[in-house]
Parts: sequence; structure tokens; C-alpha cells
Amino acid sequence: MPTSITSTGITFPDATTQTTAATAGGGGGLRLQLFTAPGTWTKPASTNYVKSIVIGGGGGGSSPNTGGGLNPIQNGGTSSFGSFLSATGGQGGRRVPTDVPGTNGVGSFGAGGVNVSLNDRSGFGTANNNLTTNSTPTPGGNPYAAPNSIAEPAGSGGQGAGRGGVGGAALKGNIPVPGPVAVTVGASGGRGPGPSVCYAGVGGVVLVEWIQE
Amino acid sequence: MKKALISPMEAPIKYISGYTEDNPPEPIWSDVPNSCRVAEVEDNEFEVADTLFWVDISDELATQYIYYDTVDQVCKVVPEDVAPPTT
Repeated sequence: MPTSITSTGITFPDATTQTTAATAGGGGGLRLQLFTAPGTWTKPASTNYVKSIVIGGGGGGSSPNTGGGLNPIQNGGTSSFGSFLSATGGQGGRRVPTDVPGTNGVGSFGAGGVNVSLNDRSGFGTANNNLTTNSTPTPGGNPYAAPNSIAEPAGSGGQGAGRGGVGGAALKGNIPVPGPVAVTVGASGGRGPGPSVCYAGVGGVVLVEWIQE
Repeated sequence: MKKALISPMEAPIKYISGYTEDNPPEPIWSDVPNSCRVAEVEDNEFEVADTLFWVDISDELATQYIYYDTVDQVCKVVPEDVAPPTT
């Protein structure tokens, strides 16, 4: 049965009939908040679900001639959106006794919401930081906001003889948010010790998306 | 006292236990038994996904390369890498 228009409405192939005009859709708008430093996401009264992406901080690169790596200050920090999802930072690279890149961080999910993907950095990239402007980045610094450092994505590992691991990543949707959520942003891992060429990692980020009336 | 964040999915921890007789020699990697990664050490805990968890560690351990022993449920120092052969 084809769709037909009659004097009283529109009849569809499944035999249902629409007799009144459809009302306009809701007026909610998409909101985004990018955290490059720890903070709190504030829940609007009209919002009950959010989507979040977390990227851990990148590990620092090792120095070519002075060792480094395995040094706690070279590890990138963990990023979290409450207990809903987290991503650990990349491990610092090491030089001694041999050049070894740091391991990458990993994402993990807590309860609630729909787990979408782990450790997929599509859209964020996996570049290694080799910009002198980021050699001593502010912990949790956002590479997109820092002048002259636009090429290095959040969570990138630091370049060096043993490069730093990239931060882990996690994406979760339909997260039920009863109230404000604590946000932690992983700091960048520091560069290895010594005067030679190696670089710090790039800080992590937490991105939150929601619909607000 | 410090807080160590344990990441059970990042396992096992590896270290260089020796070198091959190739020229140049290649490192031989061995697993640390029952090990997983200590992702970071902090003064205070923060909220994380429940696949991660926190344990207390001494200030002395906080400055070293450590792992979490999943059987003994304590943090331990990762074995030191063996130095490469000199000749």
C-alpha cells in the first residue's frame, strides 16, 4: 500500500495515519568542555547523560647519553572522568642499558554508561613531541592552547633515544551523571635527566559532551 | 606514606635479564612473575575507574621503579636490568 494523502491526513504503507502536523523538535544544544587541568564538571539540571573521552599524559623521552627512563617523573599521569573511565599515562622512555621506548598507557572503564572504545587515538594522533616549546610543559598543559605547539596532540610521548609512551585513551557514552563529576587530567611526563636532546611528553585531556536544554 | 595507582591490565612488567650472543648483542627480556604496572604515585588518591585501584607505599619506594605483586599484594622494586656485554 503506497503512502497517500487524503482529506483527513497522511496514510503510510503500514496502514497508520497521521492526522496532525508534527510538533517541532526539542531545542537542546550540544555542549563541550575540554579539561586540560584537574577540575569538576558541573551537571546542568536538564542533563542526565554525557559522553566523555579521556587521554592520559604522554611519557617523557630519555636522554641519549645520561640514562633516564624508569624514572617516576618521566611517566605521564592518569586522566579520569570520575570513576566512569580512566586512561593511564605513557611510561617514560629509557636509554640505559639500551634504548627502549616507554610502554603506552591504557584506558579502562568503570560502571555505568556504554563503553565505546579503548586505546583508539583516532583524531588525537600518536605523534612524538619534539618541540622545544614543550620541553618543559606545564603539567596537564593543553598542546592545542599553547602557542607554537599546535602539532603535538594531547598525550603524545616525548621524543628521545628512548621515546616516551603515549597516553592511553578511553571513550564512553550515555554516562548517567547524578551530580558534579571530579575530573583528573594526567600531567605530562618529564624529560630524562641530562643536557642532551630529549623532550617531555604532552599532557592529557578530558573532553565532556552533553546536551543541554 | 604515598599512594600508588595500580593498573592490573598493564602486565606483566619486563626487564632485561641478559643479552644474546649476536653481534651486536640483543637484550633478552624476561617477565617479572605476578607483576603489573604502578601507573603513578601520588600524595593523595583521586577517583579512577574501578579496574584501577590504590595501595599505600613507603616514601622510599615512591622514588624507585616499582611494580605491584598480584599474589603478595604489595609493591616491589623491579629487578635491575643487566648491563650489556662490554666486548
